[in-house]
Amino acid sequence: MKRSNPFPTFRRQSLGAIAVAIVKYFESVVRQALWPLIILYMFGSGADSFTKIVIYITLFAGSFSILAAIFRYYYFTFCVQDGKLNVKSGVMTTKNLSIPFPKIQRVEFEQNIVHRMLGIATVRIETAGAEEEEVEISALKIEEAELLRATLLEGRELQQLDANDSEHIHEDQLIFSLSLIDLIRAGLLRNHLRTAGLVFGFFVGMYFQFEDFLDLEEIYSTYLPNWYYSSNMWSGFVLFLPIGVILVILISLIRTVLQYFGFKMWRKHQGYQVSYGAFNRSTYSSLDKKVQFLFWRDNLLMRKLGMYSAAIFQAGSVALRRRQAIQIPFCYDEQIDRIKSDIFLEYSAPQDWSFATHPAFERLLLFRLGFLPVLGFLWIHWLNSWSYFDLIWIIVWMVLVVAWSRYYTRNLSLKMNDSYLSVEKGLLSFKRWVLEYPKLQGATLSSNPFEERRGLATVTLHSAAGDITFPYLLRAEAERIVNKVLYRIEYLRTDWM
Amino acid sequence: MLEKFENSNIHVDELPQLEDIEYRSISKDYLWVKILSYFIRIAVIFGGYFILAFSMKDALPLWLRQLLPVVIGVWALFGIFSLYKVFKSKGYGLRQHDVTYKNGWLWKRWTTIPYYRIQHCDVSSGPIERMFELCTLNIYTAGGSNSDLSIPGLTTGMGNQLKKLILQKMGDDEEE
Repeated sequence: MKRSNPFPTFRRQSLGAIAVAIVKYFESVVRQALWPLIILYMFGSGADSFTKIVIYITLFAGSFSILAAIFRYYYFTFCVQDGKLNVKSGVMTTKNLSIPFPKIQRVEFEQNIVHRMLGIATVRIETAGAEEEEVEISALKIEEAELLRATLLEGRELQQLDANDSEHIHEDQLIFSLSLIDLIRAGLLRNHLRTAGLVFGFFVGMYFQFEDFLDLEEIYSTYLPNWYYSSNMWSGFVLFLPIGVILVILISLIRTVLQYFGFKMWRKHQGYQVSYGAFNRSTYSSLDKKVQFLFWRDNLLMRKLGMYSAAIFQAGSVALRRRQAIQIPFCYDEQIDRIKSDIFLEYSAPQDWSFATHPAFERLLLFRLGFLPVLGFLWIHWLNSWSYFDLIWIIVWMVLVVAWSRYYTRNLSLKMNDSYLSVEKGLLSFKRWVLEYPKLQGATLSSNPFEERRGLATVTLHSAAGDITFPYLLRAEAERIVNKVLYRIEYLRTDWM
Repeated sequence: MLEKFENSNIHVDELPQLEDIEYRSISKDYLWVKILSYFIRIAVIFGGYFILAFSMKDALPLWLRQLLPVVIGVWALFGIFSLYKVFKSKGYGLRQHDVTYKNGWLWKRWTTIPYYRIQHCDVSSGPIERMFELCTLNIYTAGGSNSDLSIPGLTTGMGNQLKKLILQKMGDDEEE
């Protein structure tokens, strides 16, 4: 039954849009630029005048953002008329946008903590085709946002029904959801290296501040064994390593739980929808025909339990040429199989032809991850004081790098059959990509001087959701892969979206 | 009555081979376009050096002031040599169903795009290119800048001809 139009005349969004814009400005400025200065101001021996000036200028500039937010709010109006979403915006230059219902691909919501406090949501409407872009309504009351989404999607379906009487309205099906226990498990099992990098970077960044107000030499001599006394940053790193490990795991865990809280995944009409987030609640949708490739990964711990984290990569609107991925933080084999069968018609695992990386790739990894960092480490220690025990770290590092390079190279593989292609990479964290040939836009063969000398090449396959690269193949094999891919694209002539 | 149905194997080695593509070189005048652009950049750098040397001659030691122009000169000569090598590496090939562009002296690259995947194409020409009546053919796909092609050093006539051919091929492939 067709519902009555709740947005028949042009109207403004919720006043909360002004609050959202102001908070967004300060959040981006503080997060990206100001946080080191604020920490220095609070923990330093007294912020210098430069720091104070920068902070005051930023706060002053913020007052202009309040004015801009008020103007943008006043001049942004929208309505639903004659089977279209109409938007008028712009302060100096007015922009009029009309999007017919059939062009609307997705209507998504996003709520951060400010949205939730005010009971509003940002509504993002994405369209297909080369002419249109995404429309964003910064703040609507959540009930109105739901009404708008229902009006637009129902209008789209009704128009499509008129065009094709054999269609039927699809019932949404909840595929799976993640409980708090699932999220805690996901947080503990996740790859903590990225968080470790952030924590390590923070420690290095703040080390010299710590030196000013802590007597580090006394701390080292108190807590480090006598045979390991070495007065430098490396000692601090050794001393705080256990605390650092616990901190890394805790931060990863809290981030995962907050980011994916309340995760639910639905199967919708020819697509998926996921929603998650404790403070920033977001809803993302995919359409099967826009999916470019499927990606999933696991690590040593997850592999033992048969768990994966996955992502469905799809193309955005053609004009934006933007890549979008639906993230699934934690799932099992059955969810991966379900997604494959929904997205790929008559999926069969590509196993007919298999290609591996040349062993020369191992030498490249050794050079990049072993030789260069050790050289840098030795140079830094040559400039500062160092202890012979630091050599132990070099030996440990080199042993790890040799083992990692060898097994990483052996695990690299590219497999093909007549319809699908898969790439597998990784050691501690194992990654897989699967795609169909018609989704590809083209292919590139490339070689650096090292590869050229050894008759090797790298293959890069281009899709509308990103590139997939496979390095250090024998040149003849790389050409065979590209020949096959081009043949399948040109022979099948299937639309990529 | 059933039509005779065949489904014979297709061996990968029987497919059209990338190595069989016949590449065409770009116009020799393009080398002069690149050298001219390069000279303009070098002139700016030399100009910057002279201003620096003149305004800070007391701060910079004599040996540094004498060494810098030599370093810039050697770097400029190497730059011209590498421009030549990169120019020689550029080429494009047209097949029935796709277009390939190759370039790169030390880091080599061959990118192939089927006509069926081309979103649109256009021809552009900078001020120095226009002096030599040259242009660049830009081919866009949905794969982002990594899969877009820019074929420089084409004469204006050739650029427009190739654009017309590609648009025609795009239309033919859609109809098929």
